[in-house]
Amino acid sequence: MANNSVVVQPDGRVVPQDAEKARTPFSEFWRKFKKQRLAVVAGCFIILLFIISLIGPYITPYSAIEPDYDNILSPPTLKHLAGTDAYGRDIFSRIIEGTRISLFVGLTSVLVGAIGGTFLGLISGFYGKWVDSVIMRFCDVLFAFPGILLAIGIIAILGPGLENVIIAVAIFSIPIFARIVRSSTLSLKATMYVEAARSIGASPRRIIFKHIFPGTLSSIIVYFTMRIGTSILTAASLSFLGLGAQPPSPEWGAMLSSGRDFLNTAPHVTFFPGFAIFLTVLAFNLLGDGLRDALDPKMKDE
Amino acid sequence: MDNKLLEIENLKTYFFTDSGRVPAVNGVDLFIREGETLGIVGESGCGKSVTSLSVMRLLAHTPGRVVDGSIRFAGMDLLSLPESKMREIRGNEIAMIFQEPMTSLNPVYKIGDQIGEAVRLHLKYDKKKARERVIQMLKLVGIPRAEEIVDEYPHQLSGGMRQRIMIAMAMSCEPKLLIADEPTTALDVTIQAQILDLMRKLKEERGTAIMLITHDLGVVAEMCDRVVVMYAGKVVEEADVFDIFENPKHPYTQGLLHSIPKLRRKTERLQSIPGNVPTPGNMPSGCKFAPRCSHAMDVCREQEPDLLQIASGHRCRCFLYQNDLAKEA
Amino acid sequence: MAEQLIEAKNLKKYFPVNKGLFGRKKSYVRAVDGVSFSIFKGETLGLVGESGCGKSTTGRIIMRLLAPTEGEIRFNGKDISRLPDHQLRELRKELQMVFQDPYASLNPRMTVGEIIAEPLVVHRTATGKERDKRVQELLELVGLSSYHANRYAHEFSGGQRQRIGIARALALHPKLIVADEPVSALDVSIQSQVLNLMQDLQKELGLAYLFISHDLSVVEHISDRVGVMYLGRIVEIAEKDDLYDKPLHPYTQALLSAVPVADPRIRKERIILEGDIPSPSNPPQGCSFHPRCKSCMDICKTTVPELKESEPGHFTACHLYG
Repeated sequence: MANNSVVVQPDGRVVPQDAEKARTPFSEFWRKFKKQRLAVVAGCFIILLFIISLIGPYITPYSAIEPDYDNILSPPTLKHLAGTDAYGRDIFSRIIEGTRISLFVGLTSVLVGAIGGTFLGLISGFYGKWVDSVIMRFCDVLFAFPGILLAIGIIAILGPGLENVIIAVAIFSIPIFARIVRSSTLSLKATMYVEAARSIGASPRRIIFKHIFPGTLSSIIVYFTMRIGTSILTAASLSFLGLGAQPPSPEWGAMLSSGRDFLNTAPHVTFFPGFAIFLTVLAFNLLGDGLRDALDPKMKDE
Repeated sequence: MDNKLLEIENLKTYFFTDSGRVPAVNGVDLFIREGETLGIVGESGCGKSVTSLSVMRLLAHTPGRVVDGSIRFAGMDLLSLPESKMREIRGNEIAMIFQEPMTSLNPVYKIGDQIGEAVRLHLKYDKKKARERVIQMLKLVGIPRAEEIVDEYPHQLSGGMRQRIMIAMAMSCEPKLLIADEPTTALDVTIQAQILDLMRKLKEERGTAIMLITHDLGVVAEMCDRVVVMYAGKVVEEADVFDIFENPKHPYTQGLLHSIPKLRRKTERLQSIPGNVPTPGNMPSGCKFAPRCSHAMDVCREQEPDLLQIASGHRCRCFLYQNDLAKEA
Repeated sequence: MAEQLIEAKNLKKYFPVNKGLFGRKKSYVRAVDGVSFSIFKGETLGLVGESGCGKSTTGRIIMRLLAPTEGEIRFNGKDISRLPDHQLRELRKELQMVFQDPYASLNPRMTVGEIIAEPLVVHRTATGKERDKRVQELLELVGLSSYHANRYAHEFSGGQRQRIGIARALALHPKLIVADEPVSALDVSIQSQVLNLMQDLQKELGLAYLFISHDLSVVEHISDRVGVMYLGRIVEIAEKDDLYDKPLHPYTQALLSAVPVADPRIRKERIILEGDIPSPSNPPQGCSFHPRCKSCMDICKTTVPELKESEPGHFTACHLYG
C-alpha cells in the first residue's frame, strides 16, 4: 500500500500524500500504443525510412543517376544487392535515393490536404447553416470523381511533374479531411465543455482552436498516417503513367515503369521498387491502425 | 417466517482489466427472506450492482469474474449450476429490472413479443396463450389500452411506461425474487411515485421477494423491510429498516443519513462526509472508510474489522462496537 | 427590499421541428412558454420541475446561451435579451454557470489550472504571475489545493470536478451563478459537500444563484424562494417556507407528496398523479396540467390561468385561486 495515501485535513479536505506523476493524455496514449506490437514495428520502420531519406545520398554505394554500361541488367549479386537496371545503375542505391522523393511527396501532399481540409471542416461544422452547405457540396463534387482520375485531370491542366503530383494529391485529400473533421466538430460542439467555454465568454475563434481542434486531432493524426500510404501509392501510379517524376529521377513509380519492358528477362528491376512501395504503404497503414486503437476514445478500457 | 430465499456468503467478484485486478465486490454477505424487500444502499462503485449481476450470473460479457464465495438460491448453489440450468432460473425464478428502461428494451420488437418471449420460453405457453398472458400482465402493471400497446414498439412509450413494461416482463413468470437495480433513478418524482406504488402492490399481492438496489434513502425508507449498506465492495451495516434510520451504528451510515437534505426539516447546514469515495485501484489499508471517518482509531488504519452481530438482526463492520463485544465476552 | 438583479419578463423559447418529407411543415416545441420571475442580489431562487418542463432552457436563456424567442431579460435594469455578441462577452463576467455533469463540462485536454484560468485569459483580466496567483486563490476557495492545478480533470472524482467547475465560474467575480442541476450527478455523501460549499461562497461573496434542480429536498435546502415549473410555465412561485408549508397549485401539492421521505415511520398519504407529462410540442389546451389534475374545472380546459398573487409574495397560476 502506498502508506495510507490520503490524509484528512481538519477542514474536511482529503489530500493525497504521494505526489504521483500526472497522467497526461500523452502518457495514456503511449501506454496503449506500446501494446500494439505490429504498429510499433511499423513505426520503427517508418522512422528508419525517414533516417534513410535524410542521409540517403551519403550512404549509397553507387550513384543513382550515372549510368554504368558495363553492368546492364545484372541480377542481384553481392556487389549490386538489388541488381542493376537497363542503364547499369544500382537499383539498391536508386531505391534509397527514391525514399526521399516518395516520403516527401506523400508527406507534403497529405499535409497540405490535411491543413486545408481541417480548416474547412472546422468552419463548416462550427458555423453550420449556409457555410456548411457550401463547403460540403464542394466536397461532394470532389468526391464524385475517382481519386486517381481527378489527379490525372488536374495534371492534365497543370502539366506533368512532381510538384503538380503533390498539388493533385493534396486537392483530393482535402474533402476527406474536411468530412472527418466536420463530423467530430459537430459532436464536440455539442459537448458541455464547449458550452461552458461559451458561458465564460470565449470567442468563436478561441472555442474552435482551443476546445474543438484538439479534440479532432486524434482522428486527424490517424487519418493523416493512413493517407500518407495511399498518397505514396497514388504518386507512384502517376509516375508510372509518366505523369509524375520524369526519368532519370529515381522515383519508385518511375523505376517500376522503366522496368516493365524487361519483366521476363530481368524481373528484379520491377520487383525491388515494387517491394519498397509495398512495404512503405503497409507500414503506414499498420501504424495508422495502431494509432487508431490507441487514440480512439471509444476503445478506452472500462 | 424465516425462510432464507437467497443467501450470499463471502462473495468476491473481481474485474480483470489491462490495468490490473480490480476487486469490485470484496466479501459480501447478505440474505433475503421469502417475501421480504431488502434494500441495498451505497454510492457509485460500492459494488451493489455487481453483486446483483453476480447473482444473475450476467458477468460473462464483462471482464468480471466471481472468484470466491457462494450464492444459494432456494437450496441451489447458483455458482456451480450449469449455464443451461441457470437460463431456466433467469427470468423465471429470479427476474431483474434495470435503471434504464430506454435501453433495456429492444427497439425492433413489439412490446407483446418481448414480454411474450419469456412466457413462451419458461411457461411453455403457445403464441395465443402467451399474448393473453401479456395483456393480463400489462393490465396488472396499470398500462392503459393494454390490447393496443401489445402491438406497439418501445419508442412509442414514455419512460414511466417503459419501466412498467419492464416490470410486467419481470413479473410475467411469477418469479420468487425480483432484483431491481435503481428502478426509479431515471424517472421523474411523480412517475417514481407511481412505480414504487406498483412495486409495493405487486409484492403484497404475489409475495415476491425484492432486492432493491438504490442510492436514494427515501426510496429505501418507503419500500424496504431490511437494509444492507455497502461501502467499497463490502457490507458495512445490515439491520431492519427502522434500526437503520433510527439507530444507525456504522459511521458511514450515520454520515449518509445526515448528509441528505430532508423536506421540511429546515437544516441550516448539512453534515457531510469529508473526502471522496475510494476507487477500487486505490483502496486504503485497514477499514476502507477510515480515511473519511471522524471516529477513526489507530486500529482502523491497520486492520479490517469484521461484520459482527451487535444486536438481534443488526450487524455492523466497525471497531467502535467490536471492543464493547470483546469486553463483554 | 433588496435590489433586483435579474428580471425575466414573459420569456418564451420555441424550438422549430421539421416535419414531413421535405421539412416543410414546421411545428414548434414550446420549451419555455411565458416565464417571468426576478432574482434579487445575494438570494437563491430555486427552480424545480420534472424533465422536459423547461427549467434548464430557462437557465440557458438567462445566461444568454440561447436567445429567447420572445420576452425580455433585464440585468441590473438593462435589457440583455437582444444584445449582440461582442456586448454579451462583457456580460459574461457578471453571469456564470455551473453545469450538471462535472465529467462532461471540463475539457479533458486541459489541466485544471488552464480550465480555471480560461475566463481570465478570455477577458484579459489577469496575466502571468497574477493569473497563477488568482488560480491558486480560486482552488483554495473551493477546497482544493494549489498543486492540483497541473493535473487533468479525469484524475479527479465527481465532487472535486464540480468544485473545479465552481472555481471556473467564480474566476471573474460574477454577481449571479446559474447552477443547472449541480449536484444531481454526484453521490449522496458528496452532494452535501458541494451544497455546503455553494452556501459558504454565497455568504462570503454575496452571490445570487439561480438553482435549477429536479430534487425538491435539495432545492428547499438551498433556496430562499422557489418556483415550480410545468410544461414551460411557472405554475407557482413563493418564499420557500410558504411554498413547502402551504403549496397552492395542485401540481405542487402532488410533486411534494411524491417525494419519498427518508423516515420509515412516515407513511404519508400521497397524491399519485395519473398519466405522463404531455409532450411540449403538443401541450393540452387551457391549463397544461388539467388532464392530470384532480380539481379540474371546465374553465381549465379552455383558458390558460395567469400567474397571480394569491397571497402576499405567493404567486400561483391556477383557476382555483382566481
